[in-house]
Amino acid sequence: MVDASNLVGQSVRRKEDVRLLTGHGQFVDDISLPGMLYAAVLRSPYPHARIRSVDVSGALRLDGVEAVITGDDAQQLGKPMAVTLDLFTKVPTIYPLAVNKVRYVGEPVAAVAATSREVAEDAVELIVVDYEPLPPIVSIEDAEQPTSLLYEEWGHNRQLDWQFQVGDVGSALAGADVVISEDFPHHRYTGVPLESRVCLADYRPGQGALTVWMSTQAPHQCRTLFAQSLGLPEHQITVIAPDVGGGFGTKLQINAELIPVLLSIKSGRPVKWTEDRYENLVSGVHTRDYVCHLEVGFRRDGTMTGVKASLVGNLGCDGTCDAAGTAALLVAAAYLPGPYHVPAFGVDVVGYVTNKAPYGAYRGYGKDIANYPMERLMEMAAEKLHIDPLELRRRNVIQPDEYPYQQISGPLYDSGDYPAMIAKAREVLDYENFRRQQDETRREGKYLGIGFAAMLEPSGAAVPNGIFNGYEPATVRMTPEGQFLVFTGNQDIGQGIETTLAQVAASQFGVSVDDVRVVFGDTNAVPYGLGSFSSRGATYAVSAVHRASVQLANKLKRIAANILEASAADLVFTQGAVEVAGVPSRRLTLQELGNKVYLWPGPYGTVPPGDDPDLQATETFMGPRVRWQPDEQGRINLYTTHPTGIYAAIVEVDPELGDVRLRRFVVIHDAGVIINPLIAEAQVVGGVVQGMGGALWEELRYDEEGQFLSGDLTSYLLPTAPEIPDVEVYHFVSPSPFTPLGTKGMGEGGTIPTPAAILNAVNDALRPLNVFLNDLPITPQKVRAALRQAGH
Amino acid sequence: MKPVPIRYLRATTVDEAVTALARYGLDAKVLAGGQSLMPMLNMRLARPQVVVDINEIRDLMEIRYDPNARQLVVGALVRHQQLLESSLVHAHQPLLSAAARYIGHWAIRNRGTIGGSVVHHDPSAEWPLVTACLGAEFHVQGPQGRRVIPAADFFVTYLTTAVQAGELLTAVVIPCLGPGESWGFQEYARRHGDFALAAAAVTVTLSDGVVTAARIAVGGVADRPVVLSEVTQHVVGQAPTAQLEVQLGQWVYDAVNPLAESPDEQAYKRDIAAVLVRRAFRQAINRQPAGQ
Amino acid sequence: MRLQGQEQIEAPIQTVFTSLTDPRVLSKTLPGLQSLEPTDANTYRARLSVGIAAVRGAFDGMLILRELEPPTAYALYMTARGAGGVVEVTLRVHLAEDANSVTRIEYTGEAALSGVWAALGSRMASGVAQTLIRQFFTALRQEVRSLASAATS
Repeated sequence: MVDASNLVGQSVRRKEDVRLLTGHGQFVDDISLPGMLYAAVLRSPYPHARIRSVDVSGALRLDGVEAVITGDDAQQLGKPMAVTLDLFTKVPTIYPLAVNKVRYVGEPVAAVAATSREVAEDAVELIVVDYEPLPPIVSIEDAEQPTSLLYEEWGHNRQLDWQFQVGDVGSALAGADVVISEDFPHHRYTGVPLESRVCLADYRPGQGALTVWMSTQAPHQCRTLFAQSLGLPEHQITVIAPDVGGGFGTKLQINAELIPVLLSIKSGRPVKWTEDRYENLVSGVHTRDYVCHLEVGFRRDGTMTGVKASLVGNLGCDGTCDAAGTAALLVAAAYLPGPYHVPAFGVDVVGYVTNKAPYGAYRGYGKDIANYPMERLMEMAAEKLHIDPLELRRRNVIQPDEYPYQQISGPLYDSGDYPAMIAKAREVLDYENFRRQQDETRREGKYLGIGFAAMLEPSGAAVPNGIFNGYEPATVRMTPEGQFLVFTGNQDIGQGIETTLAQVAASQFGVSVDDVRVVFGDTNAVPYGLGSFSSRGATYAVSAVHRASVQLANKLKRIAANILEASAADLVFTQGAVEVAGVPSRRLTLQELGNKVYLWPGPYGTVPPGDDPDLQATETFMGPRVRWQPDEQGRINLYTTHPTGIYAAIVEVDPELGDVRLRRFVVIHDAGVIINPLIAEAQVVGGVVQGMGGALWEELRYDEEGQFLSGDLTSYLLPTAPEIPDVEVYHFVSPSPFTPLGTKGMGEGGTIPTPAAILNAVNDALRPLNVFLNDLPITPQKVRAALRQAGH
Repeated sequence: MKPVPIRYLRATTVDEAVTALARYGLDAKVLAGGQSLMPMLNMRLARPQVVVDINEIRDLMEIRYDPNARQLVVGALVRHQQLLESSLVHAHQPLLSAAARYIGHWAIRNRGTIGGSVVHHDPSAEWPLVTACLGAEFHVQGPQGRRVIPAADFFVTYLTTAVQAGELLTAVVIPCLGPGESWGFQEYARRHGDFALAAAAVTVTLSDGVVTAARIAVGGVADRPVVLSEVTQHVVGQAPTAQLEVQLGQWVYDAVNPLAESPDEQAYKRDIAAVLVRRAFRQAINRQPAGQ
Repeated sequence: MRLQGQEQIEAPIQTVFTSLTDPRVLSKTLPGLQSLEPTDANTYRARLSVGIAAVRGAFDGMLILRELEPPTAYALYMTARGAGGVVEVTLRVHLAEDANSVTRIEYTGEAALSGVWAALGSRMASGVAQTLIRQFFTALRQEVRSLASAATS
């Protein structure tokens, strides 16, 4: 048995891996019910079209087809899709199956439930839809000067239009010695979970009860969204998320999941929908896809005078009901000042709806949008000011003694030490030496480049008015046999909470993680919690579990003290027992304690007056410094914790082929107190790889007509092991003062700065050839085109 | 992603397969390693009525070396990984094993077959390029009997070869490396295992410091592999100097006319076709035994 | 995707133009055509089973010939729907005859794929389209030749 007090901070091997790595995991697609039907979805081939008619008679005639639904059924059986998150946004009235018109290629138009997926797909081909194509809105420019409207009732295509200013930005820029300004476009890409969306719906007409097994990050919010989108009483709905094969933010809402539910309601039988890869890429949520115009003023010594930004997002058909991405632009706006001293700040944000897939969340949720333009611009400024890029950042970052730091745009930063991390980066990279080596190898025709990005990761959101709220309950319970159950609304999606939450609880009771079972993913079993998003696990869930464990530990000590005739203050948990400190003979194993309280003999006489035999405790953690009431400047604070980092990429560019090879990737990372270094490092590395994917390979492409071109994994290129160098991770620890254990949620940090670091490195490599790339992903063709233009 | 209803037939001899293929004609597809066909079936891009599985035809599984003709006779069902590992191939035509390394990933190479690859004819794939470069011969059996198709006639256009409906490719006969002959192979793809953006295969024979024979082919730039015979003519008779390499790049650049979606892509493919041929040529020269 | 090309047919321009716009000829030369029924002047309902090798699909659509300027130019518009999406083709065709009674045909235009085909098939699509056009002209050449020989015999 492991010593209790040391469990936090230990690289405990993941409890869940035995199950997952030996093929014993249970995902939704592994579940079958008697009489179950299989769903297939007919999707729009047009980006924008009016639906004149839908004829399902051919499908209904096919043997094995049990139900067919269209937009009409969606209206009759359900209600408009519930709002996921509404923050200064226009919210459309839409249904899970297109009503009257389609707004993106891949939008569901009709769906079939049949006795097999094969038959369901055969039936889908027999549905005849008469479309009247409408002019597609594909780009931001199309949306600005609307040749047509996605939602005619709005009169325009703007879903979001918001401005914010603190200080006199105009004067700040006018008074600067140098102003750097640039448009930073970012392409559309997204999280690609190994398990696509899968949903098994079982509506029981007799009871009016609905059970939904689904691959989701947030079972409780989904339950509420189902209730609102179907008009069903919420207490009759159960949502169960068993093992979930990755989410990355893409599984935080219901949209297509309503389709098997409607089919189940219509057919009276369980219906399973297993999304295929094409469906996932064409209609699973998309992200990024924006242009940020950034202007930053600097004094000659490199210190910033002000930041002015204009951010325009291409939101696809919607980011408020179909998905929850629109508000990411606001998060971006609030965090554009990043880790820097910014004396004056102004930002305009506009989000346009277009005929592309829904806009949702993906590892970053606007923090990446805040990071990319600023960290790209910092390297441009360094070149212009003739200051080393690391040094330029050092001169502007918040100093360790300034925390908690009130950022000009509203956020309150909890802790960090950028200067020390910058020094560490120099050391690890052998930076001065690298610059020498770079000069030498260039003479041999080999183009090495180094690029940096400072990282700031707001984690643990508390966004008002929607599913990304900020609180989390946990219940910790001891069984009569002396083991523990942790009930959490947090959701395991592969990130390791079954182990980390167990470590947090086990630490309080002197037991091993094997004596703690983390129960999640069943809305009937766990308290109303908010699942996994916004890197909130180590901010919210960990803090709630810790506090509930402390509370239960105190109760156990009071009861044990009563039995052992000792003072509770003298008791300690150790080796699966509670004992009088220093007197190992006066002890009760937790099994003995549990037995005595519950059954043998029972509570009378064992439990002291004022206590009861209910050996469990529930605590709900709320962000102590979250502020939704705007201050006199109109500022609010949504995030409780803020991991920090300095990232560096070293690349080698082959100018003849346009090839970019990642040679080294160094991460200096600070997420406060780390519960499990193994898991924390895996989170960083996984995030970095997704950032690399966005920088070099992954792209959700649409042509000018709005046709989607990236429908499989030979056209949507995910990074694979041969392309990825070892990611070198170095941890700093600046404990958060805002969480009980000093922990900070940290799942998104790796993704946020990686694209900027890599493009900075490529531009550094090609600087002697007078090439400046500004476009992601960095494809060989783009590199060659830029070089060709520069005469190489 | 489930296929349309398909009738599945399994052949255990070439005759059985040919009978089935002849019977169903255009409505039948041969299933070999399935690495291209199965995804196309599942995505419903391919909708044959009948699939003829040839995986149990033993006669198609061997690599043989014919010392008299100095040829490798490669059965149509030979897997990519077999070609990568075969000692016969290493000894007699190592260009094949070098190219095999670039095909997909290990799991794909374990299933995918040379016959499937050449008959499917993705013009970015390795086997069409290498067999075209080396002047392989394709042995085909059909209801009218057997015939041999030279590489120059085999690859017609995208996804189309000279193999007719009802016919089955049985073997690919590949000339071995000749005396004084060395080879180079270069491929560039976005990621390891992806279809090539472009690829180049080169063989060079040197005698007394002068190129006496060469073969140069490029893949991924047209609707079929392109054998650059005219460029080869320029190279023969020359000493393999650095200057020749530069010229070679220019000749290739001028000779290829890549099909592309945009002028940028066309320019890119031209650029890299030239670079890859140059590098493959350099590789081949470097592989020449010392003293040449 | 852009479609562009040139073809030559050894026949006078009037013969070629007539063939290109004659539904009886088209029904013999359009790759995979199963039926072609006129619904209006120069407008036809077409059923095709078209593709190359294993990539093959059944289509149901409209073929419209318009902007006819005999014998030197016309435009072809086709839209066809299949299980994987919609194909739309717009072609401008120009004809010119040289001194040897050979007609040169130049075409430029666009083909647009939609739905699943666009998402999965884009790497090969332009190649497939060019191949089909080539098949069409090969068949057309043969047809014109046999028409010519029928006329002379």
